[in-house]
Amino acid sequence: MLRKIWAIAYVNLYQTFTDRNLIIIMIVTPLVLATIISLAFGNLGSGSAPIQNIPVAIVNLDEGASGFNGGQIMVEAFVPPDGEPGAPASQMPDCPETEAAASTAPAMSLTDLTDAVLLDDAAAARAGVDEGSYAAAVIIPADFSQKMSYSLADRQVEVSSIEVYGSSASPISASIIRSVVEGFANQLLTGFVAAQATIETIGQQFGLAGMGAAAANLSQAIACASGRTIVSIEQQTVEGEQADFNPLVLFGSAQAVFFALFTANATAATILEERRNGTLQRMVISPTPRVMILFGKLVGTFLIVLVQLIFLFIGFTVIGSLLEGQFQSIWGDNIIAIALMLVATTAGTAGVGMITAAVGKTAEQANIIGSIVSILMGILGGAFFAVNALGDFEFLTRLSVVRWGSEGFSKLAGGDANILTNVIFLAILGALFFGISLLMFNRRKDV
Amino acid sequence: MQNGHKQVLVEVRGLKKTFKRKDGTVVEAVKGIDLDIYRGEVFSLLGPNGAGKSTTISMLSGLLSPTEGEAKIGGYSITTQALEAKKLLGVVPQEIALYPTLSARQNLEFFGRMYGLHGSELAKSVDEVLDFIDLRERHKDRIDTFSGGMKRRVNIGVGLLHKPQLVYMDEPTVGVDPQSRRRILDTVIRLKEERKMTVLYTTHLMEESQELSSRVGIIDYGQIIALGTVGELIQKVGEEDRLIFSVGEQQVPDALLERFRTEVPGITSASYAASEFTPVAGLEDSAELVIEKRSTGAMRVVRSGQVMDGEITVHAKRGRKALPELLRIADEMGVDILSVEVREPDLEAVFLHLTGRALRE
Repeated sequence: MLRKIWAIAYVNLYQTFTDRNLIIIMIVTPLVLATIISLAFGNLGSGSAPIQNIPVAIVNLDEGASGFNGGQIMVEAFVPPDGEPGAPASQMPDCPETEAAASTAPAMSLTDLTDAVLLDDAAAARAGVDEGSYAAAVIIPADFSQKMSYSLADRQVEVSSIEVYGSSASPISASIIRSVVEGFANQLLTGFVAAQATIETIGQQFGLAGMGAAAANLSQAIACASGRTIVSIEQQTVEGEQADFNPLVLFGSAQAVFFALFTANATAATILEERRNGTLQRMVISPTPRVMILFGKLVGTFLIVLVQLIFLFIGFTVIGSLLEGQFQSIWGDNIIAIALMLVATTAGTAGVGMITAAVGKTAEQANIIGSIVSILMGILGGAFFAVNALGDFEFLTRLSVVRWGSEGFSKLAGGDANILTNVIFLAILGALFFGISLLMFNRRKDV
Repeated sequence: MQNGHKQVLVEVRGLKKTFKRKDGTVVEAVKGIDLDIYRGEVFSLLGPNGAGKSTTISMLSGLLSPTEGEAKIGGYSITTQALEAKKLLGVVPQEIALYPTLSARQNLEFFGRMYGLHGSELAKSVDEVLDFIDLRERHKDRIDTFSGGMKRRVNIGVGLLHKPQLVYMDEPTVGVDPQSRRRILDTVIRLKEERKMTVLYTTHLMEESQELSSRVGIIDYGQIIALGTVGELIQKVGEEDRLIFSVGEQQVPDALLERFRTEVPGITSASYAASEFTPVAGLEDSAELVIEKRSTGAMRVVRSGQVMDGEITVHAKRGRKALPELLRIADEMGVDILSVEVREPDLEAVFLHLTGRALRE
C-alpha cells in the first residue's frame, strides 16, 4: 500500500516540479515579493507608517543624580501629563529641534506611536510582555542618571543600560521601541553631558580649581558619545537573548506560508482535476482503497509544500545575506526547531488545502475557495502588513495558519525556541482538516 | 459458475441505478439488468446514447454504487469484495484518462503500480503492453505530443497492464479516425484470440458489435431488450433478406412483381420504385443538375436527362437461395437486371424492429 501512496504522491511531485511556470509562482514570486515588502519596511519610521499605538510598559527605577533624573524625562516623553502632546519621536526633551527635524512635518509623536503604560514593577512588565499585553517593556535601571554623570576622577562617562524587553511575537513593534529608546537615550546623554561641560567651562572662566582639565576631558567624552552608543539598549526576547530584528524574517516567513497555502490548495485541488480528466476514476477502479488514494494525494501535497518552504527559507537566507554583505542565518541557529516548524507549517497548510478541495465540487470552485481562504489568512497572518494595525481585531490573527507559521519562524529568528504552541496548533489543524476532508471525500461514494 | 460447457465470469442480477436530480425527481438510468458474460467471449452491450451502457459499466467497475442488485466478477461481489473483483478487471474508459505531461511509459508505470505491479514485473509488463499497442518507439514521449489515435492506444494499454481476465471497453472508438478505429477493433480481436481475455464492449455502432461480438445485449432505456448471438437476435425478430434489383429506365410490368410473389418460395413482398428527382436548392432555374432520390433512400446529384433509375425491392426469407429463380423470371418477362444487391438483416434492423427507432437516432 505504501508503494501506491508513494506512486500517487510522486506523480504530483513530478508534475509540479517539471512545470517551470509553477516553480516561478511557488518560489520566485514569494522571494521577490517579500524582499520588496521588507525593503519598503525600511521607511516605516516615516509618518506614513501604518504601525501605531504599540503597547509598551515603562518602568522607571532611576533614582536620579545631582538633581537630574534622566529616567523621568524619558517617562514623560512616553507618558506625558494629561493634556500635553507627547514629544516627537525624533526629538530630545532638552534639545532644540534640529533643522532636519523641523522640516519634516508633521512628525509622529511618541504618544501616536505608542500606547505606553507606567508600571512600578519590572517583573510585572516582563510578565505583561510574555502574556502578549505589551509588545515591549522599557526598564530604566536605578543607576541610569548616576552612570550618565561625568566622573572627574575617571575622565569618562560610564556605560548605562536600559532594558527593552521585546516580545518575539511582535518583532517589528519591539524593534521600533528599541530604536526609539536608543535614539532618545543618546540625545539625552548628549544634552546632559553638554550641560555639564557648560558648567565646567563657566567654572574655568571664573577660575575655579580643576575646571580647565575637566572641560578638556569632557569634550573628549562628548566626542565619544557622538561616535558610539554610550547608553546601550538591550533588546531582549522573552528568553532574554539579544537579537536583531530583520524585516525579511517576518515578511519572508509570512509570504512563504501564504504562498505555501496557495500551493497546498492548488495541489489538493488536483484531486478534482483528476476526476475531470478521468485519472482519478482509473485509480478508483484499480484495487486501491479510496482512503489510500486520498493519503497519496495528501502526501503529495505535503511534500510539495515542504520542498517549496525549504527552498523559500534557503532563498530568504541567501537574500538576507546578500543584502547584509555577509552570510547571515536569519532564521536562527536551532536547526531542529526550524525543521519542526517547517513540518508543522506544511501540515497546517496541507490540511487547509485538503479541506478546500473537499468543499469544492470542481477544481475551479476549489481554487476560488482556496484563494479566498489564502488571502484572508495572509492578511490576518501579516503577509502584507504588520498585524498590529488590526488593533482590536488582532485576535482574529489567531485563526490564520500564516500567523502561527510566521510567528513561529520569527520566534526562532529572535532566538526564542518556545514554538511548541505554534507547532501543536499547526499540527492539530492539519490533522483535523485532513480528517474532515477524508470524511467528505469518502461520503461521495460515486466518483 | 458453469453454464453448460461455458464458464460464467460476470454474473449480473437485478442491477439498478437511480439518480436524484436537483429538482428532486428520480431518474432510473439502469432498471434492473440480468446478465451473464462467459469466460473468453467478447460481449457487446449495444444501444443508443443514453441507453445506460456507461452507467452499467461504471457500476461493474466500482465507480458507481448500485442502487439495487448485485454483480459478481469471478465469484467476487463488486460491492462487498470490490478489491478482489477489481484485480480481475481492466477498464478502458470512453475518454482519454491519462496524465498529459507524463510520457507513455510513465503513465503505464503509474497505473501498473496502482494494480500492485512493481520492479522487474512492472517493467516487463509495460514493455509487453508498449509492444502490443505498437508504441515502443514513442514510449518516452509525453502524452500531450501524441495524436488522438496514439492516445487511444495508450488508454487501452493501461487497461491491459496487469493481464486482467476481463476488460471493459466503453465505446473506445468514439471520435477516432477510421484508421485508428480499425486498429482498435483489431486490438479487441487480438485480446480475445491471443490473450484469451473476456471483453465487455459497449458501443452504439451496430457494425462494431456485429463484427466483434460472440454475443450481444441490446440495451435501451436502462433495460436489456434482447440478448444472444448476432444470428440468434436476427432469428428472434424474424428479419428477412432484402434484394434490390436495379432496372435502369425500363418499364416494369406489375405481372413481374406478381410472379415474384407467387412463384418463388419465401418471397414475402416485391415492389417497384423509380427514383424521384428534385431541383437543387438555389439552382431551380437550371435544368442541368437535379437531386436523385433512389427508392432505397440514397441520394445523389445527377445531370438531368441522365439515367432514370428504377429498382425492384424483394423481401425474402432466404434471399440468396431465391435469387436464381427471380433472375430467371425477370429474363422471361424481358426485364434486364442491371445489378443485384443482397442485404442481409443486421442488428440495426433488429433494434429498429424492437424499438421502432434507429440506433443512431
